Amino acid sequence: MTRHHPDQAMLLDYASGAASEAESLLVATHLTYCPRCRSEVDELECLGGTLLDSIEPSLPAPSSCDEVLDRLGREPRPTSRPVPPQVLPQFQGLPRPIQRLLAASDRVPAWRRVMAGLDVLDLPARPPEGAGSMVRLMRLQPGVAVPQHTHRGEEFTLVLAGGFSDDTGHYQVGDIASCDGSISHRPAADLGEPCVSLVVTTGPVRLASPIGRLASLFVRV
Amino acid sequence: MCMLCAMEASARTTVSRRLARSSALAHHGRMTQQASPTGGRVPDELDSLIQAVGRNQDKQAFRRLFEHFAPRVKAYLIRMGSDPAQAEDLMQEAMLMVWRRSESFDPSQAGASTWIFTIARNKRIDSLRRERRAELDPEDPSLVPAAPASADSVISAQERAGQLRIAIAALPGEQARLLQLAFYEDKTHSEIAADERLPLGTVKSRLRLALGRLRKHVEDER
Repeated sequence: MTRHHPDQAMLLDYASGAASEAESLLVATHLTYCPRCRSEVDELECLGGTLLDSIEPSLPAPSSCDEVLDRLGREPRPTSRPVPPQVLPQFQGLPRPIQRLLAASDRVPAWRRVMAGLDVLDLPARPPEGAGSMVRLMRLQPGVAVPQHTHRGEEFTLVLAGGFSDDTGHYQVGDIASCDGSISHRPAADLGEPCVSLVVTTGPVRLASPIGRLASLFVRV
Repeated sequence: MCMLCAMEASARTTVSRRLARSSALAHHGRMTQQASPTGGRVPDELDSLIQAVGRNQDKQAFRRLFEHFAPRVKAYLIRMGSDPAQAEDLMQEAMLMVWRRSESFDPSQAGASTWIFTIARNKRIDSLRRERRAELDPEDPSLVPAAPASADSVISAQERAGQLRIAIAALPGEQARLLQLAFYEDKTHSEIAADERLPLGTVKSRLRLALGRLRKHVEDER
């Protein structure tokens, strides 16, 4: 059962279609784990449908329906089920919204080492606006902590496996931790299994300690 | 489509809202029994038209669906910033998708209008982006299923839509307008805030208030 959810504004942006690619990925992935937010998005989409009912109609071209039927006549009978994405074996446990993104990428995504116990994998989603924005997977080995840092923008971390704790709480599979410039934190993976998470940031990470700042010259966090 | 509900959704003054509310309530009661006199179609019928397309590739049913939804989808796309020619193309694409996906339509999950709204929304986003919109996959092996709902909390998609329609009409004008902006101007909360010269927090809290009222209304009806 997830305990940390996206805020309602983000769910509304997702349902209305205004959310960025990265935010949509974050929300769609959270929905995979969270029946409560799924039902909330269902309600918001129902609101979209209700508004569609009340819109002032705009007439289609006179031959419009014939054109569509004509195109239908020429295409093979479609399969209605979504086809599972084809991904490398190491990505098979990931939720499908992330798998689809990996499958659509034209290069083979690979983990890269940031520091001992911390690897990241950049995802090909278009990140939200802002310098230093990114969308990536992060893998922390059991018990490893990321150096104390803060953010210039906002950061959302969605746990996909394992769990982690920081100054704001404990996060497990499906939970979203959100952080902004007002929070300086030191996320540490739970003991047991590695913690894998989806991370969306809208601004660069700033390491808090002098040693951390020095380290940032050497590691691309 | 039920015209009364449509009129009601656009009724914004206190008096007309009160009138619309009472007539809508009366109307809602008989909504599933007959087509409205204006030639619009009732939700039940729209649902079964989609099912007829899904089960039997019924072209006549598709024509009727097209007649009802194509003008609304086109209007939606124009509201979202497409020019009329683009909107026509995208609307045709969306209606093709309605045909292709009709077999997976499940009226207990979402009513016809909601289902078609999501198709039009996604079509538009896909036309703007490199990647397809990230979507929940109901067949994802990672999916955590919902707990079975208790019998008295089960509400059909259609009942929910009817209740929402009434609830939207009862919203104060400002809140209803913000909701419209959120759905029909392709604006995130931050963009709405900038346009309306309101602090982001105010936009968020007004929308939250609006959604809270809608939810309360729907729950009170249960």
